[in-house]
Amino acid sequence: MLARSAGRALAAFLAAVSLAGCATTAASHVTPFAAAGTQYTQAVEALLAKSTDLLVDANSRKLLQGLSLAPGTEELLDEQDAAMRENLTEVRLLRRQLDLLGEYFASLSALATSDVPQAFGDELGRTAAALDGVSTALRQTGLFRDAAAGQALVGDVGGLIVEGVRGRALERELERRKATIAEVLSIQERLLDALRNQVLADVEIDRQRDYDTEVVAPFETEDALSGDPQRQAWIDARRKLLTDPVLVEELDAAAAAARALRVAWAKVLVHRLTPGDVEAVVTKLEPIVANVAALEAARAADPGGD
Amino acid sequence: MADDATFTKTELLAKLRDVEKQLYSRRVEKQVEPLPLEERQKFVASRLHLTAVIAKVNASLMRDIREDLEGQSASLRQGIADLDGSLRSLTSAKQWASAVNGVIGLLGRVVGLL
Repeated sequence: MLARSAGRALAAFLAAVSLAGCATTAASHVTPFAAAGTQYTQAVEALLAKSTDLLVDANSRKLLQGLSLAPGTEELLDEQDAAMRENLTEVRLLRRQLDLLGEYFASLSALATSDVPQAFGDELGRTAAALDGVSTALRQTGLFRDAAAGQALVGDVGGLIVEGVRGRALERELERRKATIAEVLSIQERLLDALRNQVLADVEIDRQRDYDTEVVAPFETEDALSGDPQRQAWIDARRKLLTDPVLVEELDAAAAAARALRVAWAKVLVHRLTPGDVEAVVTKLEPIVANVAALEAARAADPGGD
Repeated sequence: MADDATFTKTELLAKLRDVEKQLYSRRVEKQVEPLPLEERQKFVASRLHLTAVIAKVNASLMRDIREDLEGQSASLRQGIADLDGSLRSLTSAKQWASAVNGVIGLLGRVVGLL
């Protein structure tokens, strides 16, 4: 009788350990992926905001540029305002979609990192101790010969069972959302590509004018580059105007991060995620996050400034 | 179909932006500057009209992308609800274990008094 009971207990324990093994695998792969995903959505939101500011500012500069040729009219302004409002509406709606992906990663992380399995095991351990106390009080045989070991075992098995429940919930979610997340990340690559083209076009007109003024004009003007300081300034200006603007580089990095995140997602689904996969996402996002942080710090230091 | 449409808009935008870039260049403006005011006004209005068209095509491309994302949003919302529901179930299990523990602890103290 005792042997059969012990056998059942062992079978239950092994089943719990087995389930917990799957659960730990799922949670350990999902946790870093969800963290990288959260960082990705924050970076893309920041880039979307910067790109939109640039879009409107570039449009304003185009309006102002025309004033050197002819006076402006209200009709001209209205036409540009209408086009800008259309873009701003789309950006606002796109931001909602980014928020939704961010919420998904947050929920995924909350379940994967929850301490409930451990807390549940601790509660069960205390319950076993209390039960043993009751049985002692009733002057019956203790539930376990070694009460402390028994409480620990009950706690461990209880925690593992809950870990198993969590693991199955995560596995079920990965299976259900495997196509959705891959598709969303793929669409976001298109978004980042479209934003890149938009930003490049927005800055290109100004850069072309700056290049004409700061590089071409002094180069064609006699004695304009005769002194060392002028030559160095000309070299710096030329390099700056020939290389891609920082925002374009950031959008390229974010698009690469979206691709890396898609690869990481595919590996999470088959429990093959490695630290290198997560690093591939995070290292691409680090410069963007650093720039956003620097921008926010500058704004905080000078709230009235641009 | 959607991909074809997006591709066409991307291509169209690239071509329109090339033309716009030329129209805002110093080289072209130098040629416009000597013209009579009426001609310059026409030039500026046409150039800004092209700028507005580009902005509208850009908004249309963003709309295509946004609609594709919205097509996945129901599934994402369901995922959030499922994940939050699973977490609530686990938390509830822990709360039940805590409640049972409290009851048994109380029972132990009562039995101890017998």
